[in-house]
Amino acid sequence: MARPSSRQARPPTATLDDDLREALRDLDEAAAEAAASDIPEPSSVAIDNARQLLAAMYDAAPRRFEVYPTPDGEIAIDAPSGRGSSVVLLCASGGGVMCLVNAAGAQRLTRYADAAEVPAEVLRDALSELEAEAD
Amino acid sequence: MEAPEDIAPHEELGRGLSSSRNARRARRSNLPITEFWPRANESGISVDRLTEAGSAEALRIADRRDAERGRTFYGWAVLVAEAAGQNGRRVVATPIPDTNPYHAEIVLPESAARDGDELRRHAQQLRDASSWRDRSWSGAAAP
Repeated sequence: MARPSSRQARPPTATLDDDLREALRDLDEAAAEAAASDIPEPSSVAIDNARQLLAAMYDAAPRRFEVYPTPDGEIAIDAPSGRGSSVVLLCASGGGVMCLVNAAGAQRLTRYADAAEVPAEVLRDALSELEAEAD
Repeated sequence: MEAPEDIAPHEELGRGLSSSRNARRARRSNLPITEFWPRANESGISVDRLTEAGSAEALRIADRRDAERGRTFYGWAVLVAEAAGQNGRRVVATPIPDTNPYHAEIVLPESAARDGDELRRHAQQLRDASSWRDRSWSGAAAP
């Protein structure tokens, strides 16, 4: 009996990989998007931090993350649930990271001095709150 | 046509969107929270009173406004006035004579102008309370 090809065996994974690839493409284009929007371009530190955190968030909860520049030179990694809640990471040009969680009727804001200080379990817990609301 | 000055809690307010990238994001998941940051020349967050204007008039006003700015109008982030006015925010009718009698502003607390964290909190709350309404809602063709 012929074995299924890897693509046939893992179509959901292929789709999720597309989600990550597209989010990384948005990150690569963030500086150009900022320039086109007449807002400050994010620093290379912000972009590097966003790349690191995007991978961590995708590991925690694979989905399509929206990545875009902000008027203050940050890179946003945004996970909206579409049901009134979201998790947003803001990677500042100076290297700091802000984590905003709006879920279950409450909002939390946490600041980190560096992307490496953002605990993986914090990301996992925050993103799981969004999934729990969907259930 | 004049809109009443008082804004009812159930009124739908629309934040007009003229970014093709953000329109794609809105169709896919939701708008960026940055759509709810006051723009450089705005004292509050500009919105259209969709319930009062009605779909055809709201679209006509939005199309004309963006055309004058050399932009394309894609749709609105829509939220009800009650949600817009929570957590210290106010919704104020600010009609623009001869242009937009249905213009209103979501005014953030003064402290948000000095506190970037608070600004971001409001932006996230407002975005999460909103839902995307494409221009085709008004029966218009996609741009």
